Amino acid sequence: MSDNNNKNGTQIKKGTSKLMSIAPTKRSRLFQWAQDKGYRNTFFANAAGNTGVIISGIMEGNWGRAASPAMGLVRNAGAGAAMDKLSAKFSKAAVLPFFMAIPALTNIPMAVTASTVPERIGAMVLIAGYSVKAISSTITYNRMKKADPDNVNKDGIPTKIVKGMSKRVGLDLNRGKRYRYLRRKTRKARNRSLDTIERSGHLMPAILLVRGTMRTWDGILRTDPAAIGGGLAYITGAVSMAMGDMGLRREARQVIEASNQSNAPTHKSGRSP
Amino acid sequence: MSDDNEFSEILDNEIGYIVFVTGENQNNEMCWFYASIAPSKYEDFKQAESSGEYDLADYGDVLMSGSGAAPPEDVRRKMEQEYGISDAFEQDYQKVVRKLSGLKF
Repeated sequence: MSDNNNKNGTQIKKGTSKLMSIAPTKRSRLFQWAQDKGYRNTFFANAAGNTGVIISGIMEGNWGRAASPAMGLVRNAGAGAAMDKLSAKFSKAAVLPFFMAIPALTNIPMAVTASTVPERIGAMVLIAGYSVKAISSTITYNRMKKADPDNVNKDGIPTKIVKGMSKRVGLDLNRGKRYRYLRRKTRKARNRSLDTIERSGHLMPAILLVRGTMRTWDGILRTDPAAIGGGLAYITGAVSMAMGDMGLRREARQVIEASNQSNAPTHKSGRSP
Repeated sequence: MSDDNEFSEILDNEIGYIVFVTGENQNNEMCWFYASIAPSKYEDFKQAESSGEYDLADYGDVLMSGSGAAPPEDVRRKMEQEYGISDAFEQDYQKVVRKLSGLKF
């Protein structure tokens, strides 16, 4: 048995193959991140299908069309109604793995922010480079957009966040000053989230995320599902849902169920933070 | 770099399709491989396979390999642990793809 990539020994005749899994490559930034964090290999391997889903979430607009042929896909997707159709067709258990991948691919606070289902989630993942900064800032930015118009500075930047205002999230790449301002505002909250989750164990991000997302499914925090639906329509999304159906998420789901029945930490308002 | 190529590269860097391959080597001996195929090359890989002879290394990274028709049990366990391989994966995956293909987006 060998464990190498010697080209001379890889010529195959009359070969047959079977797809066994989808997994991060060793050079994956996600993989490196998980390793650095000390996440268990098994958990990470099980999250592999979801990795693809997140990447498929990036497939909006031109990128979506670009990715289709690359992955052997022909279906164009991204319609806003896709998620409605998917959630009607499939069980929550089948769709949830998509969301559970978010903290694994990005960083833990993404789990928190995903409670509102970012409408351009893929773009954020990519642009943030798996950093939480842009994501957290985006959330706050959208809160600020709805801030009290009487509390703005001379540049029109809101100076006060009105509690409980955030219902939607999005990404504005041209936010400039406002972005920098808001990034400062979110730093403390982000660090708090990290501390909490780091202490809670490796599955905690998924728990937080799913809890938040369930609320979305219940219609409370629902936002434009186009990106999500588009991502799910791709083959990697299909794989993830297959994995959900197959029960490979069993471990995570057990913890989630246990969490839902316990007094797991939630935001004091009763909503996900 | 165009968006198309850039995306393809990102994808190939991040995930691989883990396949189990059996066949004959150049000496006509049975051999097996676990390989990670780049998503952008998966279709080409399947075509090459059906053509009869190909070089696995052209399509991705060989993770494990050996002689014989099947890997030892410890290798299989290691692959399960590290890559989450499952015999039922392809079947279940195709089932869901069929489900999805019935949806109109």
